Formats: sequence, structure tokens, C-alpha cells
Amino acid sequence: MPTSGCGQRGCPVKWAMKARHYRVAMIGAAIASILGTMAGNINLPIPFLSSLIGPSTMPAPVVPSVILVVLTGAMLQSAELYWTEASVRNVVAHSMLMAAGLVALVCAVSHLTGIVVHDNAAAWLMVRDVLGLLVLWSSARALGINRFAGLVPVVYLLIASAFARNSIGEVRGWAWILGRNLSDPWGLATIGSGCLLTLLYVLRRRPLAGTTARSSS
Amino acid sequence: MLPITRRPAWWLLAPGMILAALYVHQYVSAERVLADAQSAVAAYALLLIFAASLVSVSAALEVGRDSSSRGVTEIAVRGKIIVAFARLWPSLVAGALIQLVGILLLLGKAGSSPNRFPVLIAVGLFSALFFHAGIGMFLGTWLRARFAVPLALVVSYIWLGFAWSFDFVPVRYLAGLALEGCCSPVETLDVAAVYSLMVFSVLGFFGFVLLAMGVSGRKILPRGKAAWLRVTAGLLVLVLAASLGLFIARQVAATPVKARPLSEAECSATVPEVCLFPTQLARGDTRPVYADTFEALEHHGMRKITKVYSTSTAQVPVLSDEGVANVMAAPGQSRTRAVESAASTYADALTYIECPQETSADVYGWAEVLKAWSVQTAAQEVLAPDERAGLPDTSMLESVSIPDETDFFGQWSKLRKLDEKSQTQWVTVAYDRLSTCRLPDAVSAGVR
Amino acid sequence: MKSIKICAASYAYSSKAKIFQDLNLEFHSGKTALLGPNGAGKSTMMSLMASVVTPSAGSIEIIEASGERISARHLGKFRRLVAWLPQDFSPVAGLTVLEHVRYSGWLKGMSRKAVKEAAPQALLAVGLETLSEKKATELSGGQQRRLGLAGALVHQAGVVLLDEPTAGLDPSQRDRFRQILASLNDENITVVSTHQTEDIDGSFDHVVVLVGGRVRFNGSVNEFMAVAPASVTDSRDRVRLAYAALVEGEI
Repeated sequence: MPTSGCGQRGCPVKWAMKARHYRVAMIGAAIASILGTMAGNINLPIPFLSSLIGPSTMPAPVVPSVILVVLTGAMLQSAELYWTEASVRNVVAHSMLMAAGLVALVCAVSHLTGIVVHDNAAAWLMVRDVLGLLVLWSSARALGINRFAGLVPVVYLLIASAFARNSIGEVRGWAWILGRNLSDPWGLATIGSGCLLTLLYVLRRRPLAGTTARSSS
Repeated sequence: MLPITRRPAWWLLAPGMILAALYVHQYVSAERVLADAQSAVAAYALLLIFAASLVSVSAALEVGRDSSSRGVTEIAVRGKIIVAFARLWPSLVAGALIQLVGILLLLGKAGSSPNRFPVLIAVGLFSALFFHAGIGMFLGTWLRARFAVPLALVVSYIWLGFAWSFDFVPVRYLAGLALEGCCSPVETLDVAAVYSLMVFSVLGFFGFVLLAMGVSGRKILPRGKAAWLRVTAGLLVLVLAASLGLFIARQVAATPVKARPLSEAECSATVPEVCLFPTQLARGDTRPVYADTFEALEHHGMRKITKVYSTSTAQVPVLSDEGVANVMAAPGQSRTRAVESAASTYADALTYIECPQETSADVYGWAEVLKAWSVQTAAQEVLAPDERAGLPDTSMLESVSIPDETDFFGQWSKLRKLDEKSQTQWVTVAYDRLSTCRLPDAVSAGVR
Repeated sequence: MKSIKICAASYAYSSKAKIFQDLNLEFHSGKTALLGPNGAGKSTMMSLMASVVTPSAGSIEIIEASGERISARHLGKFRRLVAWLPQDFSPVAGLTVLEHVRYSGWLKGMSRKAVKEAAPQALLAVGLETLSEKKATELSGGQQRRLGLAGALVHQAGVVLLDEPTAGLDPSQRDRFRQILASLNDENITVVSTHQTEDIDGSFDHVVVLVGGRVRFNGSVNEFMAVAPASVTDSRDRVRLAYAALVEGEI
């Protein structure tokens, strides 16, 4: 096997990353982190009918987060071709490791941006949103929604923004993405249980529901 | 030619309908749309989120099926628009069905209405779906399904959400959601807002068709001069659509309404003459109550009212020098609320007077005292004892009281203990002084 | 249908990857085998003739028996006359076999009524009539290729372009394809690009050999076999040797 240009240990990692378009994903993660952190204090008005309850908003970092998660999720899955399911190596684990790497990158870039704009809370919010939505994507995959796993975080955001407010205008707990409370128990529970599901999925190499590796490919 | 049964739009239809119905059930109050078909259909605008989401997602799925095939569509004889329409019609029909269900539910909340079904608003909202079908079609052609489908949903939602509260108001009407601000018993639709939506959506759809023709082949960048030309043409059509839409909506206000012409009001044969719009009369005629209230207050020393309207204050001031009053009348308003609305007119008119900053808070407080007196006096004259419950509402008096300065609630308590003549005397003087930004004397204790 | 003509056509993927330069070629009625090594430009030529790609210079036109010339620039009219099965055919997801053929016919401009009548016959012609209710994407590779052929043939095109239709198929599927090919009307212009030289004798009337984007040979099957030494009597060997001589320059 020709080894020119990279060490024998380094190459497989690079191949796995290249198959997942790591350059585009990293650049996207960096741009989203910078934009999301810089706009961290902005609350975007969201369409909401009941004027009695008052205006409804979402923190601005949600928008770059959801776009990043949709794009990177699809890029990560693009390496999981049908024939790779027969590999000895765990290709799902490779995807999830790269997802974790992207979250780390978002964490680093957001905090650097946070230092520049003196807004550490916005940086954490950005990390929470990316992590939370990415976990929804991986949980969807763990539950057998493979091809359109990227839809799950978007549908969650849409439903949260439409139905989050109760009759007295308070944001319901499950719509943690619309709040700024980093220690929101619903948010933490979503991330925690999502990580657990993802771990099971990685270990099983197939969704928890269904018997094939690609329940809805 | 595609089988009607196996179309993604149909299996997205049920969740879309359920979400729309839940939304209407949870967040739309009947008072908002009561007896007003125009308001009810316009309120549907916010439910575009669900219909547009369905349309963009199912369009991306449908078109993606063609794009992922090989050797089938490439040498189609039929035009791109016809093939696109064959793919997209179920999405548009399903979106329209969600709209229909939403509108029927809202019309159900509104009940019978004297105004006709607003076809233009319904057509405008339906045309908005074309733009979202365009988004789905373009992304479905350009990208693989796993990118295109979630992105279609994101782009659709962000466009609706982004345009919803954009500072440059005409942008709001390109997306359609802002039509939700239409209408009320005293305001009617500014049709320019709907035309803007229709022109932008339909032209925008063709812009996306051209873009899709340029990017076909799942390549990130167009290949060949013809493809670049189509993409450029598509972008130009989108720019043109936006420009035309913005131009049409350039004079529409932050809410897409115009004052309803006073000529539409139906006037009573009472003294004073009370003119209300058909919607305001749809759940009972309160014109005699308004007339009786103003007549009763006139007997207690307040200004003579010659004519009463219920319309926007831009059209008729709350109380004009000629004695024309502008009240707040709503369909289904009880006699109690009608008396309160009419009796509050004098005090409300005072709050529109621009007074120096050092007196404005006091003027507001004294106006509340006047309001409480007017409402109580009129209620005693016009309403039966069982209809007077809760009148006057003095909660505002406590909140506007200035600690260590003026206790407006205390002043009101003193006023109501005065005999009728003294009350009338104090109120007449106080009203004249407040009308010129001068503060009245405190109510002196008297004997009932 | 008299012929399909490539007139002074040039095509390049990029400035460094020129496929054709000033290519002139005419395919007449009957069955023509388009031979050539990998990368010779066979699939690109098929795509050009199918009007899927446009030449950077020159033109493609169909000459009707009446003498009328229909340029590939008039896509609607041109495509009504052309059937194309690409090498990497992939069916439309979400459709059954019968629906797929109907959809293909509709795309080709057929009326709903006409396509409803023609689709079952097209499936019968390729032997898929028993699978008409099966999902198109669930067919095996060979069945999918036959489905593609049914979709291509449903509108009775005068020009049939089949790009390596038997590549990757097992011998029985290849035989099936040969039968289908034999059943095609000889008045049609049928061009089949292939690597399988053993199919040439008996199945085709003409042979075109393409090497590096240039026509190395264009003639009848007999003329093609005449390239091989006269001492070789077995027709399969003659075809193989003729091909080797034309492509590799050696016998």
C-alpha cells in the first residue's frame, strides 16, 4: 500500500475524516460558532399568534446551530455507505467520534469568540445548542430514523417554537432550546439520555429499533 | 402519471393537520375573530408554518426521487415545469388542505359573520405555498435527500420567522405571516399586502424552477454555460420577485389594515346617533346602550355628544370638539361592557392630550378618577342592579396613585361620598381643567 | 428513420479532458455495436446522442426517412424519437415496476391513455410482466436494467441507445438481453455500446470502434471481421482478433 504523504498510523484517521468532508464540517462549525456567539445576546422574535401572551423569542445561536447540525449530520452519514456496514471497523463510531470532535471545536471557537466579545454565557449557549441538537440527531439514528435523522432537530425546533408557551406565556420545560438556562433539567436530561442512546447505538452498530443497520435508508 | 397514493405529501398531511388544529385550539381566542370572517381567515396566516413546512419537505422528497434516478428524467420530452408540477401538486394540495382545515376551525370560532369570505386572503395564503414548494424543489434537485429534506424545512421556517418581524415592514408581507395582523371590526384588509405576497410567491417559485434547472446533476456548482445562465436567470427572477413584492407593499403599515370606511357603519335612530359597523352589531345591537349612557352622563354635567362611532382613532378622535365620540365596540359586547366603553370616553380623551411632563402623570391619575365616576354614574342610570357587578373597575386607580403625593383611590372614595350635586360640580370643573392640562383641586369632604 | 448524425461535434469535461474533437459519425437503421476500451468516450457519445449533454461545438441531428432533419437543439421533438438506457440506470424511488414504466412514458410525452396501454406491453417485451407490482428499487441489478429498457422503449422510439446494457449481468440475463435486442425493429436505429465482443456476430449489422474519442472503425460486421486474419475461421475468434487489432494495433 503506498504510504507517501502520510504516516501509516495517521492515514486511516484521515481517510475516515475525508469521507466525512471534515474540512467543510470544520469550517462550517467554526463559522457557526463565531456567528452564534457574537449574536448570543440577541433574541429573535418567532411567529406566534397569541398577542395576549406577549412576544415569543428564541436565542439567536439556535439558528446557526440547527443549520450546522443538519449539514454536519448529513456529511457524517455520507461516509456510512451500504457496503461499509460489513466492515470490521465500527463506522458508526467513527461518525460519532467526529461529531464529538466537532462539538469540541465549537466549544473552543465559541469560547475564543466569547473572550473577544466578553460574553462567556453566549459561548456556552452555543455549545449547549449544538450539542443538544446533535444529540437529537444521533438519538434519531439510534432509534432507527437513519436517512432523515437531520429532520428530527429541525422538527423539534419548529414544534418548540410553535407550542412552547403555555396559556400564561411561560416557556414549557421541554422547549429548553428556546431558553437561556444552561442548567435547565429538561435540556440536561435530553443531552444525557441522548448520549446514552448514542453510546448504545455505537456499541450495537445498529439501531435499537429494527434489525438492520439502516432501518430507513 | 405518478401514482396518487404513494406521495409523501399524504403521509405528512395528518401530522400537519393535527398540529394546525392543536395550534388553533390552544392559542386562538374566540374574541379575537368573533363574527369576523376576514379576521378568522387572516389569523390563519400564522399556521402557514405548518402548511409551508409540509410543502417544502414533501417537495424536496418528491423531486429528490427523480433526481436520484438515472436514465429516466434526463431526456424527458415534457417541460421541466410540467414535470415539476406533476411532482409538486400533491404537496400543494396537501398544504391547501391544512390551510382549509385551519380556516374552517377559525371560521368555526368566528361563528356567523356579516362580512363575506375573504377569497383574496385565502388565495394569497395559498400562493405562499408555491414559494415553499420552490424551496423544496430547488434543494431536492441540488442536494442529496439527507441534506435537502431537513434543509428545506430549516430554510422554509427561517424565511417565515425571519420575515415575521423584519424592521423594514414591506419584507414582512413577502412571507405572508404578517397578514395575521388583519383585521378587526373597524379595520379592513390593505389589499396591497396580499398582492405583494402573491407576486413574490409565484414569481419566486419560477425563480426556484430556473435555479433547479441550473443545478441539476447533484453538482455543487452548475456545469456549463447554459446551467450558469439558468442559475443567473433564477437569481434575477428571485431578485425581481422581491423587488416587485416590496414595491407593491411599500405603503402598507406595520399591520396590513386600512380603516373601514365610515360609510359602512349602520346608524341608529337614537339621540345621540350611534353608528357601528355590521361586525360590531353581529352579536347584538348595543347602540341604544351607548346612546343611553351618553345621554345619562350629559344629564350629570358632561359634554353633549352628538354622534358616536367605533372606529380607529386615526379616523375619528376619541372625542372631538364637535361632540363626536369614538368608542370601543366589539361584537358580542355585553351591556355592562358597552356602558363602561361609552362612559370611559371622556377620561380616555384626556389621555390623548399632550401635557407637560411634570403634570402628565397627575392628569392620567385624575382621568382615572373621572373614569371611575363616569362609569359608576352611567351604570346606575342605564344598567339593572345585576348588570353592575364589577363596575367601576378601580384597580387602575390604585396602580396610578403616586406614593406620598396623590392618592387617587382615596380621592375617588371621597368623591363618591359627596352628594350628587357636589359630585357633578367637582367633575365638571375637574374635566375642564384637565382638558387644558391643569390639575383639579383635591376633592373636599362633603355630606351625602 | 434514416439515421442519427454527429456533425463536427466536440466535447470536453474540462480544458484538460477533451473527449471528442470535431467528430463526424452517422448511425443508420439496424443494430450497431459501439465498441471501445474503457475511457474511449462511448458513454459520452451515447449521452450526446441522447441530448443529455450538449456538444461544445457541432451538432447532433436525426434524419427522418422523409429527409426531414431534427436537431438536438429542438429538445422536445428530438427526444420523442430517442430511447436511452444509461450504463448506471437507477429507477425512481417510490414507484412500482408498472408505475415506473408508465411514468417514463409520460415523461416522453405520451398521453395517459397511450401509456396505460403501452406499459404492460413494454414489460412483457422485457419479461418483467410478473413483477409489475413490485417496488422498482427492490429489483435485482439485471431486472432493474430490463426495467430501464422497458421505460426507454415504451414510447416506440426510432433511435434506441443502450449503454452497456449487459455489463455485470449473468449469462442467462445476457441471453435474455440478446433476445430482447433481436426483437427490436430493424427499421430502428439501435446503438449498443458493449465490451462483450462475443455478442457481435449474429446480433448486430454494423460495428463502430471508438478509441480515444476517435472513430477507429466504422463498417458492417463482415467488414469488421475481415480485419482479422483470414486463417482464423471461428467467428468469435475473428471478432476478438479484429477488435484487438483495431484497439491495440496488434493481432
